[in-house]
Amino acid sequence: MLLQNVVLGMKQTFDMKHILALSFLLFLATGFSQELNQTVRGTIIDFDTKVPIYGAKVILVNSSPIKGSISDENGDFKLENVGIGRVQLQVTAMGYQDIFLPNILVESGKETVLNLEMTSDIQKVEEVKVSARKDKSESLNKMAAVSAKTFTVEETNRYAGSLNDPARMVSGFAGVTGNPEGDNDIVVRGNSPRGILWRLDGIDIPNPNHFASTGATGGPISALNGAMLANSDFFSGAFAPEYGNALSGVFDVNLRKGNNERREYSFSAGIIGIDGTVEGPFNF
Amino acid sequence: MGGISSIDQTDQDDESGYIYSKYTFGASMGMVGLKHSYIVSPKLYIKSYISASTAGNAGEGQWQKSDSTGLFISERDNYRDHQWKAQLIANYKINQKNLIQGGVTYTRFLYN
Repeated sequence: MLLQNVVLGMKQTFDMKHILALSFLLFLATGFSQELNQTVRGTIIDFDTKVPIYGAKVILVNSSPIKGSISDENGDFKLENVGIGRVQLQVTAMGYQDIFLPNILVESGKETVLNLEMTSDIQKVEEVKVSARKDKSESLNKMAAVSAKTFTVEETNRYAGSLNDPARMVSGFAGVTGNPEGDNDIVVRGNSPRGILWRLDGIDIPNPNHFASTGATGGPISALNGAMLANSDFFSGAFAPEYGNALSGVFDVNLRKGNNERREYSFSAGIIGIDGTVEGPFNF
Repeated sequence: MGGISSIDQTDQDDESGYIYSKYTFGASMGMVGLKHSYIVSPKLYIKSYISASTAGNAGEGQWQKSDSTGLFISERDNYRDHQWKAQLIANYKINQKNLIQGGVTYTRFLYN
């Protein structure tokens, strides 16, 4: 409305060329103000048995009218036309603990794909609904009882000085220290950085850093691309038995599930380099 | 997953252009793995993986000769290790409160 008034007011003094230019700007402003939407979808499985959960309700909290979806026989769900920004999702299913996802970032250029695992709710009885919010100190690996923490890829972007690097980010965790000006080696409770175990999608891997020295577990620049990672675990002690060779800490990093419905591209550039990703379905 | 990185470092006087030392360092790593999960029954699933990886680094340093007539190779290293790994884990859900997990991990280290 303000821009329209400006255009009308200037008609008396500006020639037609200027009026057209301002009108073009007005259309641009109108074009950019349209609401951007994106699809949020994913899969829900049982944590203990990995079996897809049928009939789980996924609700977009605080949406009006309320927006939701129900998982199909494969555990897949889809919420379309979700406004971009940070949203809250609640997932409920009979016999399972509720999942509350308070800070899901929905972006215009990329579909949000979630892979959720629900845990059986042993406290649930008939006619009594027990709900629990996600505890940040709880790990993805349920065999770990203490000294474990889940982190998101977004946190590796948002923690000061983390430079998209999980190792630099966890140096701010309790009991962990690192060298902010040097390599991303971390010392966990006084143990040597050489005792760190790196895992990628459940498989032990060598040091995933550029310019890595012999036997080290760190380096100056991480080789892991944050655009390909999903929520991951970091352990600073009391490791689950499957992490047999770890002595001081464990990074159990997971790869993100790519978009299997449409092709997407991303590109970023920063002071430590550039990266690009392409994802999408194969056409055979 | 894999990566290669290298860097050349030269210690040179800005005014005279004289080179005091040089150092070249390179590192590389690569790994490939296959994993599989099999749901035997609603209470039992088995997950397994097999992987091969390699990682190494090499460097060469040159320092000024004592008579300042040039550089000599003062250090050189070349290290590589390969690993084979395999893991098999069975996860059985006894009841709503308890589950049991057991398995084996095989690791073969090859250093050079």
